[in-house]
Amino acid sequence: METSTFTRRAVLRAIGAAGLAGVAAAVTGCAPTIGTAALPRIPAAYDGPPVRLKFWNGLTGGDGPVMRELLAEFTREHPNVRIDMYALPWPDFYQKFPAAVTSGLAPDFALMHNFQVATNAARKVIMPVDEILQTVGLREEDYLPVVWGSGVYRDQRWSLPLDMWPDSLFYNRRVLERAGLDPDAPPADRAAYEHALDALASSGVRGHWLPAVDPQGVGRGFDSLLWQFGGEHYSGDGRAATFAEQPGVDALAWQQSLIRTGWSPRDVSGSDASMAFKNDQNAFLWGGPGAFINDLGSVEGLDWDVAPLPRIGTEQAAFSGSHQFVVARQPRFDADRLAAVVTFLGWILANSTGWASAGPVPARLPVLDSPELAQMTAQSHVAGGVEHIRFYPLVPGIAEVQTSILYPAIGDALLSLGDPRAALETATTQASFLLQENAEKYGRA
Amino acid sequence: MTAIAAIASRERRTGGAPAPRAGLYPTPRSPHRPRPWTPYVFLAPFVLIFGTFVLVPAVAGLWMSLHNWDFFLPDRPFVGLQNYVDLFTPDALVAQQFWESMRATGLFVVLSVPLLMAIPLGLALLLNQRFRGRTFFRAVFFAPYVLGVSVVGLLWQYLLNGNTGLINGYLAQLGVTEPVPWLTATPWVWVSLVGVTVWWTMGFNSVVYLAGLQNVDEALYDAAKVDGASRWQQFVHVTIPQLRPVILFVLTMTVLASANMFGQSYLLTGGNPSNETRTAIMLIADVGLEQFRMGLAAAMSYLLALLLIVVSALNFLFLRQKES
Repeated sequence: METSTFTRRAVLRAIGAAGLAGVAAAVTGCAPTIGTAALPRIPAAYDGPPVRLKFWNGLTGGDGPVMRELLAEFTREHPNVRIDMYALPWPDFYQKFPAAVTSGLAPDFALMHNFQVATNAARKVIMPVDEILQTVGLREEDYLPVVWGSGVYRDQRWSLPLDMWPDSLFYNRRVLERAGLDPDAPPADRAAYEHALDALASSGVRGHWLPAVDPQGVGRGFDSLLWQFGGEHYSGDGRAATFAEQPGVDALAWQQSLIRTGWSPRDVSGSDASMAFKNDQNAFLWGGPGAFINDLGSVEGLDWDVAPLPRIGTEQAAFSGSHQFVVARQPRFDADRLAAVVTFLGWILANSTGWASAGPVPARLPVLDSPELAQMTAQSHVAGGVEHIRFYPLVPGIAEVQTSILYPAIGDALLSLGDPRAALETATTQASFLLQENAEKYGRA
Repeated sequence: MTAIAAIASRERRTGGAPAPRAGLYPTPRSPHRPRPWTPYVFLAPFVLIFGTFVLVPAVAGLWMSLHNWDFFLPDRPFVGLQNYVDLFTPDALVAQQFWESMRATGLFVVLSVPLLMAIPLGLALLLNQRFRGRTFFRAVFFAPYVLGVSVVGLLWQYLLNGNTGLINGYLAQLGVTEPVPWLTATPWVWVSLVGVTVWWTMGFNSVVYLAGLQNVDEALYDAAKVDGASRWQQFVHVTIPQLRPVILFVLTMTVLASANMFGQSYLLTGGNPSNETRTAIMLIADVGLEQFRMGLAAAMSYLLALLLIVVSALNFLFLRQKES
């Protein structure tokens, strides 16, 4: 066993670099040498010599400055800990983070999406964090069960939830008012929603510009609807896709009906929809608070508000994601640095109202219920819907199944308005293939 | 023998420079005689760079393609030719995706290469005339080529967007009420991708043709005129044969560039609709660098590379045969 590892490593070192036939970008590579590092014992709060930590995340939008401000605030309170934040677009982050860890250049800690945690845990590029739960003050009763469970993979906890960003209904008050609708009572169920769209159509406005082009805007709306119709995306063991069952078909058929009825134009992209909204040409946007609260807030003269998604199916449900802190695996852990990381995590999870100004609402319920949060109008309205949020299951590789198979299939069905069941069944076959492959690949890890 | 044939045959006979006469160059004496390894020392820097960035990755890629290779997993089982077999198994997902992307690539090549050969040639002929502002127009037509693909992509995204784009805006003012789905439905996606690519890269091919045209001996045209050739006959019998090596070069480069198309699809259509415009390179990048299924991606790269080698070789054979 030892010999074979050595041989492979020797061969790899000899060839020095590996690449995709010079067609794709050449990638330098040595065998990942992820050790069996364990976390050292950690004191409750850091008061040692000055340290400078590296923190990676994908906060490249309006959320970046908010996080930087919090880091500065933390350093004011803990002058011996400085944190350098490196933000890179999320897709790049998920490529570079594992690469950095395997080459021994890992940051101390990072932020990632809940649906990427299992993948990175299976890749062994992040550390189990059960031991530091007490130190950072994480308690089960402070979280919704779905959020609490979202960092647990193979009976170990790998991440600490910072926030939640449920898809919500953003509505243009002025447009509603012009159509004779009450801007203080956004529609909450299917009948009211369709009635509102009808009234809007009579006033010459297509009320729900439904994105069909960019995959993310398309897919998450479908996710929420599928759950609302009582469906699940995947089988319990994560090896088969089930989104082509009746709930999925109903969800997709309803989305198509928005376009067929003329309540949405055809061929809409996510940016079209928000551009129309900002110009009073669109009444409803489905999306997350991180994407929209600051974006819409910055438009002068726009009169908007936000509410939980209407119940279109048989139950209330909304797609949500969550940013979660992870501790990167190091070849060797430095007890001082780790203690400083833990001190910061404890601090920010307790002070997550500050983060709420970036849009997402705090994951910790006592913070969510605090008077400070109640003062943030939009965030508190989003918080009204958190009890119905749903997360993707904790299956390694699940994000790529969603984004590379399901979302494009939904997009196609909305562009072509073809048979929803056929579209979903094709996607199921493809997804099951990838799920099976992932199960084998990560099962070995 | 016509005048033109006489000139051409004289050219062929004399070839290039006069043959060196014996005794023209002094025989190097022993202290100055290069040591046997001197050429290798001069070649070393290139070999080093070529080896590091082309040869080693190419061999490593072949090695990877024989494994189920995830960069970040410690275990990468050897699977032999399975990755290649998968690409030829009709009901496997990867095979469907791969051949669909090869079809998109092929379609793009077939649609774009003729235009990228013909339009720049016409342009070069025009720009080779003597007229006022010639340098200005040469610069104008070359200008788009200096833009990066991301700039081109963003620019045309604003212009071609179905609901908010400038082009549909103007079309609406002209009375076209139904917005044209430039980036979301066939055949419009191909019109957009090919159109944008032609606009973007025709300047480069024009400049290459122009350089070729300037090397054509004026005497050949004069001789053709003496023989009573029309403008069209001059073009067919003088310009085209004289440009043959240039045409071969432009054709090979254009086919390879079109077969490697990535940015335009990635930025403009995102592969829509139904992965119709997802090119092979886009799929390879997605499978290898985002899903980290690198063994499979390497296998796809090899098939694509093999195909391109065959196409390029056919190009050469075809055009060289015609020459002889």
